[in-house]
Amino acid sequence: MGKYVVKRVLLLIPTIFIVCAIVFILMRMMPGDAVDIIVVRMRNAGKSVDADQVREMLGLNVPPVIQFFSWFGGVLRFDLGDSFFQADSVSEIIFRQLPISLELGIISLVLANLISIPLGLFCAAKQDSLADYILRIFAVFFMSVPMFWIATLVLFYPAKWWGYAPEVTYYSLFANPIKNMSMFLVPGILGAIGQAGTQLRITRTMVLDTLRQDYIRTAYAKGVKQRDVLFKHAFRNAMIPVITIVGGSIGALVGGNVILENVFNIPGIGQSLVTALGYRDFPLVEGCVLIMSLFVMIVNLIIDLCYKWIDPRVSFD
Amino acid sequence: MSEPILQVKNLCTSFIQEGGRELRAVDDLSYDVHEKECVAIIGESGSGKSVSAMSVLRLIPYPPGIIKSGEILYKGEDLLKASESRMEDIRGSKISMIFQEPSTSLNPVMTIGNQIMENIMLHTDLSKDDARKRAEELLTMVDIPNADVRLKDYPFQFSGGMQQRAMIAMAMCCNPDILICDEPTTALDVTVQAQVLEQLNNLREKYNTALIIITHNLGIVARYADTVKIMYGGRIIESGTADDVFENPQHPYTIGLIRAVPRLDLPRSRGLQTIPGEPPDMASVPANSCAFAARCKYACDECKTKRPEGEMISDTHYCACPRRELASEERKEVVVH
Repeated sequence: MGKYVVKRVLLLIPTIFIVCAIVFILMRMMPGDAVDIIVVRMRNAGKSVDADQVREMLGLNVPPVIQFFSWFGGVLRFDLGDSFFQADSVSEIIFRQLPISLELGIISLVLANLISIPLGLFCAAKQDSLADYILRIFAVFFMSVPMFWIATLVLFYPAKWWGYAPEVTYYSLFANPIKNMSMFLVPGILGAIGQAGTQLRITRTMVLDTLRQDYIRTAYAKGVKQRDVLFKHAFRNAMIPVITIVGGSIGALVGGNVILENVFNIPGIGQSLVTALGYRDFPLVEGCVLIMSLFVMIVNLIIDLCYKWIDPRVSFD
Repeated sequence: MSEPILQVKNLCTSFIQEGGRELRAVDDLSYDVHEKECVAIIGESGSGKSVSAMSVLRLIPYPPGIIKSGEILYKGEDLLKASESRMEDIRGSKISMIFQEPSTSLNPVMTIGNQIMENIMLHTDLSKDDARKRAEELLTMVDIPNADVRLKDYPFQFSGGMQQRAMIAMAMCCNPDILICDEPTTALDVTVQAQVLEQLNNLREKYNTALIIITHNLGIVARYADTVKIMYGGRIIESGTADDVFENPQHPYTIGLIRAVPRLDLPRSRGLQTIPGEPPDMASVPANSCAFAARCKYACDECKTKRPEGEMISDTHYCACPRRELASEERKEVVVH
């Protein structure tokens, strides 16, 4: 087990290198660059610069291979470089915005699991009942409608009918927990319901599948009550595939929910990444993508270790 | 003979298929089981033998399965009328069951020890520690060495034979009156089959447990069974002591089954004998006909329109075929003296 973890952690290094290389190349392949924007801006501000000066200032005048290795060398020293447009370094920006996206993501994730797993079990236990049908219709509905549409409705109608709108100024959770929650709760719920729909259906299917297994029949033959069969025998076996889905969604958390962050004006990393892409802010985009992929890799490692905890048959040797 | 501990009377179990078609998996089945008796129920796949056994413990999944009528009397108490909580008391305690595939019948994410202890703690007042001691005794009883260590193993760490013995240990934890074995050896190697059967037989001697063995292995039956029931199309078509059925088979289907057992004493050129045709689709067999009629070379028109009356040939021997005399030639051929 220890050996396995060490091996997986060491494997992160080449993976990070590949991620860095791909995002670096893709950014350079995009048409247009930050230089033009900066030149225009500075001229408008009354300074006469030419593109070469700006290029030199941004470090874009050397060959791309050298640019890459000097950037990657920085990455290995935990230095992600400086943003082309913002005064702060990339690390500072990410460090400031990542927790905001994470908070939204964690609220969504916790709510999604609290909603979907108990309801999934319930639907499986009451298969084909009216409640099962209604819950499944809701699940499909929330899976299929686009989030921006629900988000807009949720922002618009309460304001129109009751004059209520969620907080739009960001306060840190520790500075002002009430205002923070009143900002995050609504987008958190919206983020949760889409995810919950998918997870409810998976949980239901997996529990139903598990309930058809021979060992469930054995449990009944031992005299185990139906409720205990469901919780003690079926649930853990059914969770093995569900964990995979939950794991995938944890990875997506750090990417931030661009739509929800935009609609509810939450200054998270998703919003920042989209803006940086528009401005061709190479170091910031590269830094964001790198941190997101690193997060996904670490979450996947943790999920893989969780399998062992849930399913004793999993072996790492 | 003493009072039977289990009486199955006119049991009918059906499955309702899509579109409302009814499949009579068990059709008017009756048999008795006495203390310490080993009853073998024989039949091919789909003959209703497993369904009849599961019906005894009311383990038929509903829907689509439903026990339509009949009585299952355990020491005089009708289990079909018992409450669900009463059934939970009986299952695993008074009447236990083991299944065909030990590898899938054990919960893969629970240790063997926990699975055995669960059964013990459900039906006794033993503390967790005492239950663990009892589980250890049970594993030792079924010849699993280092039982204290093996309790912590998961099913996948056991071999097939050990898994089945662990199932037996689990089923025997409350010294049940009846142990139903649904094809207990089908998934096991031949050498392991013998060990498992020997184990079951020893337990029967030691604890006076009655065994209901469901199988299509005639070898098992000839060696261990006191009474034999041959099932076809959800009905018992012949029953009797092992000697009655093997020494003097009456029903053409029974004769066909015995003929189909490969014989080392006959020339190889005889080839493998088969019963022509296929097992019936139970949904399309008319209730008032002999289920075997379509495959029976002695069948007449009446066999297809009238349900054959069963008759007692001797005190113990029952057969449901009015035309059984026609099979006398074939009968002589299959009986080895």
